[in-house]
Amino acid sequence: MATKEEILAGLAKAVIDGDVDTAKKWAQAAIDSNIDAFEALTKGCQQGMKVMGDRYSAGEAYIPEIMLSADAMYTTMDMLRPHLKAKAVAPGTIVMGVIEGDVHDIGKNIVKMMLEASSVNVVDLGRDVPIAAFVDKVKEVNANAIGMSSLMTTCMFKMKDVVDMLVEQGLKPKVKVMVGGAPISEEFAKSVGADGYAPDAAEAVKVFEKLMRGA
Amino acid sequence: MVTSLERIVAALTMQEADRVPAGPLVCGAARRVYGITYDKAARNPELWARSLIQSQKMIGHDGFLLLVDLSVECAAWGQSVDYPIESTPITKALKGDPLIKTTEDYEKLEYVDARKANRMKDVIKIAEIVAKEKGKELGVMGFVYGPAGTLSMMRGLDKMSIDLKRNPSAVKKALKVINDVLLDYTVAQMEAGVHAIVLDVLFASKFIWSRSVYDEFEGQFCTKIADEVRKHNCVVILHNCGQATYFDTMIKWYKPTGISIHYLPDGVTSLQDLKEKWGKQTAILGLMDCPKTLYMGTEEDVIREAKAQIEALAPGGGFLLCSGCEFPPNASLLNARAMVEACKMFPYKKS
Ligand code: B12
Repeated sequence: MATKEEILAGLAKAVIDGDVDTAKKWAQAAIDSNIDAFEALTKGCQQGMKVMGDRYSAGEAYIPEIMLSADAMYTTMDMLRPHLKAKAVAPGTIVMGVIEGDVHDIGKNIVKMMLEASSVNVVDLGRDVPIAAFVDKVKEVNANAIGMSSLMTTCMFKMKDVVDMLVEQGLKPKVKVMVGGAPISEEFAKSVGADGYAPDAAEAVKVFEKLMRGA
Repeated sequence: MVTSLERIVAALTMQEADRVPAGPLVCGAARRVYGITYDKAARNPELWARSLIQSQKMIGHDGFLLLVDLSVECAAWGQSVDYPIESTPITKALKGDPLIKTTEDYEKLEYVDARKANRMKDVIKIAEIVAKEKGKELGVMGFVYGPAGTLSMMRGLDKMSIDLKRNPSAVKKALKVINDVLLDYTVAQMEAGVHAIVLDVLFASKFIWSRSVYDEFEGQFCTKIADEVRKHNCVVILHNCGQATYFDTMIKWYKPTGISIHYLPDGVTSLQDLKEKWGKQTAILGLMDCPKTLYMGTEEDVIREAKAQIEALAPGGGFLLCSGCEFPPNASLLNARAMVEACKMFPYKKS
């Protein structure tokens, strides 16, 4: 029988390797050994995903590797979730999407994975998301934040329309707005009325946590 | 008087003509000269060609790039394409309707005739018109999205990137078929009279694929297209607007005369470093920043950035001042003209 440490390390490694079958075996081992599911999630699979996020930023891992790791992470998360003792308190719920007219979603997906790797509840609207869809979803799921991504200068200004709509409907400042994507800068984020900006996925997690603390 | 074409040939062959050639890669932006909406222009080859020619008269650049958008190639197999009224057409594969829905679908792709194919035939027509009317004085560059890029427009890059790890042989079968059709498409553009073919090899970038995945899933197929271009005495130019591009890999497979980039290649730290490391092996086209300078910047910003690039990259030839990617379709056309002005303001320093 593997020790708890071995199981957590095994989970993390299987996620890093993007090896879904091995990851499933370790997740099953965690369940069979009654390891706290929350710990298996955070110190096992999510830990592996964080390593991959860092490797990608450092140019040591590429899109195929990231996608395989994400697949392993999501598969094991689905297995472990029903075993969570109390409904784990997520640090918050964020509605994410790529703004209307833009289909570049690789960056958004990586940010989403890293937020989920930190147990954040992410509601993903995908790409080419109409302005109103963001706001409607926020109301529907009672989200704490919106995360918008854009890689196109042609589309990024529409982020302001989302913020304006939030204001009109009295949802701001309660709902925090976070923006990102290659052409977005801190200044631009301020100019559209966003509360936070991050240049990459690791930073995005920190900014989200900061916004949730109300700092 | 030096013609634009002579100016380009000189720069590509590492010589100095009167000044650096200017190539703002005005493609989707050109239709604005006539005030035609994007969706109409992109589906009407005569209008697109007229727009290219007319906008060149206004802006004064040295050559044409015949890119319409990256969803031309995939449409040949019947991939559906969305035509927004005022934005670049885009494959519906990225909007929930991919032609390749499962890994089995890769093996169903069949050979199609490029000359008759939906959209490809339009670009061939554009090439005929532009080359016939302007090919004697100005540079005319055809455009082909590489096989991996084309396939991703029928599947989505994320799914395709997983498939190539789990089901490499299916992905390769599709790439082989696609490459054969792209080869015909390339030949058709050359027969229409273009001087060069710009091959878009986007995935040879550190933020997309590793070098070895690139070799296996694009290089080994697409190298045939570059060979064919040379056989026709045409010029091979590569385009890659990704970050940290692999110059070593691209040169190995395609032996290009020039490489067009938006960002510094992998392992290169400055414009000076770029000139030193790669300036003897390939001409460089670029690197005017599309979102930051050409779209958000003023004419003064354009001239400032152009000056720095000309100073670092132009001495001895081998540099064409181009936008790093297509000139932003919605940017001020005066910024395209500012690129031409900058080339005139800062000629080669006669040694
Ligand atoms: C890959 C790519 C594509 C792929 C997209 C595949 C996909 N599923 O996403 C394809 C080939 C489909 C594509 C198509 C097009 N593209 Co493109 N593409 C790129 C490219 C090369 C890389 C983008 C990328 O994925 N980077 C890697 C990711 C990980 O980085 P990222 O997105 O910046 O994300 C990070 C951060 O920004 C941040 N972040 C991202 N989102 C968020 C959100 C929040 C809330 C936070 C906090 C942080 C955050 O964290 C991420 C992880 O670290 C860029 C050039 C470049 N190097 O940026 C051009 C680029 C974005 N494309 C461009 C263009 C023009 C197009 C096309 C119009 C081309 C054409 N003529 O047909 C089409 C149209 C697409 C459309 N309508 O949306 C231009 C946009 C120019 C402009 N006007 O702004 C660019 C900039 C190229 C250029 N240099 O000119 N493209």
